[in-house]
Amino acid sequence: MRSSATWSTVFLGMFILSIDVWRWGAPVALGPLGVPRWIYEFMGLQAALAVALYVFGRSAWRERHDGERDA
Amino acid sequence: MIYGIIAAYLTVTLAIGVLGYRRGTPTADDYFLADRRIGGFVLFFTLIATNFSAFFFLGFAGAGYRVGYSYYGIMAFGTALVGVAFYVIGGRVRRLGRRHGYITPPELIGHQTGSPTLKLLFLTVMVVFTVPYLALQPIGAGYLLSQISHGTIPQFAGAVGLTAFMVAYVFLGGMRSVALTDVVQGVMMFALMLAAVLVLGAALGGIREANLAAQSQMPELFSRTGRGGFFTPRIWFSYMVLWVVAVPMFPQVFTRFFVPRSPRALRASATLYPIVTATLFLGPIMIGVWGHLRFPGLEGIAADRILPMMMTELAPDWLTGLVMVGALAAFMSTMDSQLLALSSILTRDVYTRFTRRDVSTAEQVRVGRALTVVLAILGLAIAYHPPATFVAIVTQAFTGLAVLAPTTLAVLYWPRTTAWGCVASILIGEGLLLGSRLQLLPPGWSMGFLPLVPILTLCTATILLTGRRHPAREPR
Repeated sequence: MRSSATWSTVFLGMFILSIDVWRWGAPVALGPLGVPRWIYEFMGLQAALAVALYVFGRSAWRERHDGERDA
Repeated sequence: MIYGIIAAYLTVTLAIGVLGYRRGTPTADDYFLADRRIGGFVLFFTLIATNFSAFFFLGFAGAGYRVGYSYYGIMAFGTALVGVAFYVIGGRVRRLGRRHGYITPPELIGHQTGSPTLKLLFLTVMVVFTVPYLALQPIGAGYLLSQISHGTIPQFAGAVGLTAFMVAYVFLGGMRSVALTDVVQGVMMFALMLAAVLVLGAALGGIREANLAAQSQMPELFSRTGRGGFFTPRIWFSYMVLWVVAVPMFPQVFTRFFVPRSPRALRASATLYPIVTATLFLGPIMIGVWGHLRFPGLEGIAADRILPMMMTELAPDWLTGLVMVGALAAFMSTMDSQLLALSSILTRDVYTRFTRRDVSTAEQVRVGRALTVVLAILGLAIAYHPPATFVAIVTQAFTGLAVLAPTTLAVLYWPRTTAWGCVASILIGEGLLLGSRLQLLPPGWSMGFLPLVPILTLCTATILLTGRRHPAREPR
């Protein structure tokens, strides 16, 4: 139960970070290749999501234990 | 040259389709679900190739042109979140499918709730909202062929030819052929989009220089709100919710949750999905933004042609041909999956339900193949008079299917769910969507959000308010 709540918080936190409207008014700064810097932040968020999905799948995903080997 | 490249691609695709046919057996499980033995590598590619459609090549670039980089934010991360649904919905659907032998989503929903009415409603919604999306693929294919042949191949004739070709390998090998061709098509989409960005960037003096020029010409394309303040915070929130609830409800995606050989295969797909969205989605948006440098002033549906226009203008013919083949792969990999998913639903949940119960699995395969042809013709008929722009069509289909998400989650996880509560939830949701489209609801009823948000809220509330007092005894 604690694990479920923890992972819900992790994914909800990432969702909230993707709706960062409090920073929308800031001037647009460009990063490498002339792409807006906030684009790179979204790429980082997606990389973090991939890691979270992997760790969740390895450690807390109930379905992998339901009567089958994980392979 | 271009025709040779297209011919080579089609030949390879057909050969792979035939390979799938030769490895198959004439059973419903094998034809519709590849015997539930798809491994992680093929599953990942079939999921991305199925989900990334004509909209990925033409619609994304068109949206990049109209709206700017902000479109990347909602499309990329919103789609990446679908990886969470692979676990939450996909894992349980896979397990129940194996335990009970389900082949279609309505079968699962109907059997789990014991309600033929809910099953029929669920399948009706899936069919009604997938057919317009199905028609999107030949529209895009026709555009492309017309563009790269400089009008030699009329738009509709190109759509007919490609659809007929695709129907051939779906007809032959079912899910196994579709999944195997998806691997080739998925790899091509990724590699050729990367090639398009690099070549167009070089032709414009370098990626950085192209971006700086575009920003100098139209700074709004680089802002968070998009050109013309396209995104408000509430609209942004709405889109972030839209993809994660709608994508798993597409029948061609939902059906794929039945096919993984192991939970590990599903985990690999969930993990890799955000990586692909992070990288792959930037390409077409960037090309759309650069489009203003060469083709300023495009409006509406004309902007959806910006990617082939840029390639034809700036890239060598052979590369334009290759990239256009990548776009064709995107069309075909989505449409073949839609055809197969819809034909399986109509075969299993309509034909066997309303003709006789003892339909053999071999007959189901024959009926499924025939329905594939019928559905392809229906899609082409709609494509003959394409409505509105791509974005409008896709948004309609996504919202209509998203209405099924609260029911699906409730059936999978909430033992107090009632079938009539789910029926009410779906009817209310679709009724509100229709009312919204016909402008029967008071202005401002969605409070600045896309209609999806209040609709999903009411659908969920309906299910919760109609729940049993005590959990159902039947174990799932």
